[in-house]
Amino acid sequence: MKRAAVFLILFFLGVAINSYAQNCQETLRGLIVDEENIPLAHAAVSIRKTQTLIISDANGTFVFRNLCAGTHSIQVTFIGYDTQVFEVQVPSAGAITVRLIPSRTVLPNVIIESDQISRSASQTSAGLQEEELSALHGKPLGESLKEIPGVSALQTGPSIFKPMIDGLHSQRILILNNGIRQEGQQWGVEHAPEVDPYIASQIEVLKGAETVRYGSAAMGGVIIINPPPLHQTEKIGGELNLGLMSNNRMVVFSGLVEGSMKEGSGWSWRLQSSVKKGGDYHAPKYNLSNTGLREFNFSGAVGFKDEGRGMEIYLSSFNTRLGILRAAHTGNLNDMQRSIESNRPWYVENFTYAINHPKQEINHHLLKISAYQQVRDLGRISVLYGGQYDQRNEFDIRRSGRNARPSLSLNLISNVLDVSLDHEHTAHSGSVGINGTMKVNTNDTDETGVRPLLPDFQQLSGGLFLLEKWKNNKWIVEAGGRYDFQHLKVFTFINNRDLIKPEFNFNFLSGTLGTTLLFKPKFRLVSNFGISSRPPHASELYSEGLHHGTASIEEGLMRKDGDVLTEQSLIKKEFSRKWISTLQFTGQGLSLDFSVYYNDINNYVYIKPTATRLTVRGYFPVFQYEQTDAVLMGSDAALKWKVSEMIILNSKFSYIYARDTQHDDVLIYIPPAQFENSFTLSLPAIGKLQSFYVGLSVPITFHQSRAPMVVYPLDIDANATPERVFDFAPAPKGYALLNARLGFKVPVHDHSLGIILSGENLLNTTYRNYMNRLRYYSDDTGSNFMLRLSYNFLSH
Amino acid sequence: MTRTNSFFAFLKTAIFTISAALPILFFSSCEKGDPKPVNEEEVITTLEVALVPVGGGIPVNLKFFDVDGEHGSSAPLHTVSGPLKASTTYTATIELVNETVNPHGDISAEVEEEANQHLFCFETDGSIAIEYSDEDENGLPLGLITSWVTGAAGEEEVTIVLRHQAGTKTGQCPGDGETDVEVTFGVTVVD
Repeated sequence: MKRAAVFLILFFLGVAINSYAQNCQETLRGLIVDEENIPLAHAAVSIRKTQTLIISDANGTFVFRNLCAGTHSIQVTFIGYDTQVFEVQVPSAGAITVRLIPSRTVLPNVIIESDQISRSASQTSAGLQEEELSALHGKPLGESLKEIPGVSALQTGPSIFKPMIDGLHSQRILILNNGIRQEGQQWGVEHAPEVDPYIASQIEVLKGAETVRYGSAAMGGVIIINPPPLHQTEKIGGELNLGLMSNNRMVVFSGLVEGSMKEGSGWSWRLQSSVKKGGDYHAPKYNLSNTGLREFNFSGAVGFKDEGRGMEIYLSSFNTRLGILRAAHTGNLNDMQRSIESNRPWYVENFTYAINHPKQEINHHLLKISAYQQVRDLGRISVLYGGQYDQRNEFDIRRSGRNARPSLSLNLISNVLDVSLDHEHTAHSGSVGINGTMKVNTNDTDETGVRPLLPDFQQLSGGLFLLEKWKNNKWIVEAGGRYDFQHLKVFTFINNRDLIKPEFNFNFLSGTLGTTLLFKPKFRLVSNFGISSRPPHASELYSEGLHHGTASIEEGLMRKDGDVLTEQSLIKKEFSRKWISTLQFTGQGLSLDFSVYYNDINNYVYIKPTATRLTVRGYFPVFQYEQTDAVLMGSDAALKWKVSEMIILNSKFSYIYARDTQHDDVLIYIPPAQFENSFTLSLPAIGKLQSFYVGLSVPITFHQSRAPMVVYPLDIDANATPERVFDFAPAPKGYALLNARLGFKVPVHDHSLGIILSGENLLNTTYRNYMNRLRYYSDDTGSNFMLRLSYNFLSH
Repeated sequence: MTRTNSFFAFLKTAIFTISAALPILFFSSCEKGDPKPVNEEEVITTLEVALVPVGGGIPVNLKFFDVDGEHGSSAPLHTVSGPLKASTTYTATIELVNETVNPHGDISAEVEEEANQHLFCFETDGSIAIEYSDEDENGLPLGLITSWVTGAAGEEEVTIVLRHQAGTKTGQCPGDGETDVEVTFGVTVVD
C-alpha cells in the first residue's frame, strides 16, 4: 500500500511538472452590480496592463478569455459611479462580483466575492470566518460549530463533541475536510470527528440536503472545512498561535509556515502543526476526574498553479488521546442508578494531567491528491483522490492486567476518488461528476480479546451526478440528480461461532431543486427541496453486543432474537425529503437571516429499548436498532443590528420540533431551543492597540420539553420492557450562561500580535446539558478563562 | 501544446490516477484474512457457591450458569441443590468460571490476584448473617470465602455482588467502582 501511495505521488508530481509549459488560456468571469445588487449593464471593464476593454452585457456580466495566470489589475468605470481599480488573482476560484458605489457616497469600497463552487446556489448556509475561528482556537471542531444557529452537538463529556445539523448527526452528516469526505469511526454517539479545526480559515455549514453532489452521507447537511488556499508569496510567511485555558489548565500551541518554491514557478507549500495538552476539566463544585486530553496534529501541502491548471498534494495526521470521565463508567444498572441519584460523581480526585482508563486513542491520517485543468469550450475538469487511515482504540477498565489492551480496536482504510467537470456560461453553469469510495473496516480482535460491537465490513460505492443552474439578474434556479450504487459485505458470526459473509447491493437516487430570488433590492429568498436516500450503515445493520461502560446491549437491524438476518429484501433504505428556505435581509444597519425547514424521513433509523436481559451483572436493557417514520422541523434565525459604528447587537435563535409519526412519540437527543444575545463594542485605536473590541453574550438553553419518557435504571426489569423510547433520567432544566470576550491587536515590527481574552460561564453556574450524555453522572464544566495569542507574519 | 492534446493528456492523467489508486484499494482489501470468532477471557459464565456446614451435614450448592455469557440471548440458569438448615453455620466458597474457553478460565483466581481491587458484597433479607472469612493484603475484606449463619426457617433471597474497585476500595459496600457480578438466588431454610 505504501509503495502504491509513493507511486501515486511521484506520478502526480510528474504530471504537474510536465504540464508546466506556459499557455495563457485562463478565463475570468465577473458580475457588476450596484450597492443594491442590481446588475449594471454597459459598464467598462478593462485590464490595465494589456489595455483590453470589455463592456458588461445586459445581465451585468463580463468575461475575459485567454488571460495569463497571475495578478491582473482591473479597472471598472461607469457613469455616475466611482471608478474601481482592484487586483485579482487569475485563475480565480469562481466568478468575481464587483460592487460599484454611486459617486456621491464617500466610501469607495470595492467588495470582491468568489462564488463557491462547492455548494448549490440555493443552499442555506452559515459559517465561521477566520476572525470568529481565531476566537475559538483550541476547541474541538464540534464545539466551535455550536456558534452557528441550528448547529448543535451531541456531547460525551467536555472534550467529545459530535456535530449535529438541524437535529441529525453521525451517518447523516458529511464532513468535507479540505475537499475530502471525511471517513472515520463516527458511527457511535461517543465518536467525535477526527479533524483538527486549526487547519481551517473558514468553516461553512450547509443545512439542506447536499446529497446530489456529495452522496448519501450529506442527507442532513455538510460541514465544509477549508484551509486557506495555497498561494504565491514573496517571502516565507506564517502564523503562531498560543492558547491557555484555565478550566482544564490546557495549553494549545499551533504554528504554520508557508512559502513559494521559486518566484513565478507556480509552486507553493505549507506546513502546519498543533499540539494540545489538557488535564481534568472541572465543574463548579468538583473536578471531572479523568477528562484530560492530548492532541498532536500536523499537515503539509504542496501545490502548483498555472494557466488553467493546478494540483495539490496534502497530507495530514490527527492524533488524540482522550480520557472519559471515570465516574461515567458503569458496570450495571445499579451502578447507574447510584450515579443518577447522587449529586456528585462517585470518583472525584485532585486535578491531574494524567489520563487513565477509560480512554480513547484515535489516529487519523489523510493523503489528498487533487488536480484540475481548464479546457476551453468544456470547462474545468477536476480529479481528487483521498486515502484515509483511521484507527480507533478504546480502553476500558479490565481485570488481571488486561488494561493495557484496548477493548475496541478498529481500523478503517478508505479511498475516495472524485472526478468532476464544471462548466460556466453566462446564463447557466453546472457540474457533472462521478465519485467512488472504497472502505475496509477491520477489528483487531487478537489485540482486544473482546467481541467487537461493530463487525468487519467492506464497502464499495459509486455515484454519478448532474447539477445545473440557470441565472438571471432576479433569480437563480438550480436542479440536479444523482444515482448511487453501494456494495456492502459484512463479516459476522452466528452464535459467535460460524462466520457468515452477507453481501448486499443497493441502488438509490437523490435529487434537488432550488431557487434564489432577489425579489427586492435588500431581500433575498433562498429555497431548496432535496430528496435523498441511504441504505443503513453496517453499524446500524449488524452491531451486536455489550456497549462497554454504558450498561446496555446493542443489536443491529439485522439481528432479531439471536438470529442473524441476511436477506437483502429485509433492509429498508432511509428516505428523506427536506425543504429549507431562508429569507435574508441586508440593510444598512440591520441584517436578518431567517430559515425554516421541514424534514420528513421514512425508515428513520434509531435505537430503541426492546427487551431486558438477565446477565451475570444483573438485568441489562437491550437496545435494538429500529426504523420508523420521523418528522423534524424547525427554525433558525440570526439578527445583527449595527446600532452605531461602535455598537453591534447580535441575536441567534433555533428551535427543533421532532416527532416519531409512526408511534406518535418524541425522538431522543433532539437539542432544546437555544437563544443567544450578544453585545459588542468596537473602539477605534486606543494608543497602540488596534481593532479593540469587547463583547458580552448570554446564551440561553431551554428545557427540552419533548424529551422521552423516563425509566430510571432500577425500574427496568425483565417483566416490564418500556414500549416507547425512554431515557434514564429526566431532561435537565434550562440554563443561562454569561460569556465575555475582549480582543485587540498590537503592532510588532511590520506584523501584528492578536490578543483575545475570553471567559465562559463567568458566573460559574452549575448546570447539566440535555445533549451531554454524561449528564447522568456529573454537572457540566464551570467557568473557563482563555488567553489566545496569535502572531501573524504572513507576507501577502 | 494544443488544447485537444492537453485535454487528452488530462484524460490520461485521470485514467492513470484511477489505475494508480486501484492497487491501494486491492492491497487494503486483501491485507487480512477472515475474522475469527473471539473467545473472551473475561466473560463470567458461572458463579458457584459451595456451602459446607461447619461440623458436618449436607453441603449445599448454589449455581448461576449463562452458557453464552453476557452477550448471548440464551437465558441463564439458577440451580440450588437443596435447602439450608436453620441455625447452622456454613463456610461459603465462591468460584467464578469462564466456560466459553478451553481450558476453562479461572476468574476467581484473577479476583484473588487483584484482591485489593475487588470486594464481594452480600444482600439478604436478614435471617442469614454473612461475614467475611478472608481479606486482601491491606487487611480489607474480599469475600471469596465467607461464613453464613442461618436463622429461622423460611424463604430467603441472597444477592451476591462483585465490585471492581480499582484504586477506590475501602472495604465498604457497595463503595465506589463498577459491578462485575450481580446474581440473586432464592434459597429455602428448613428446620
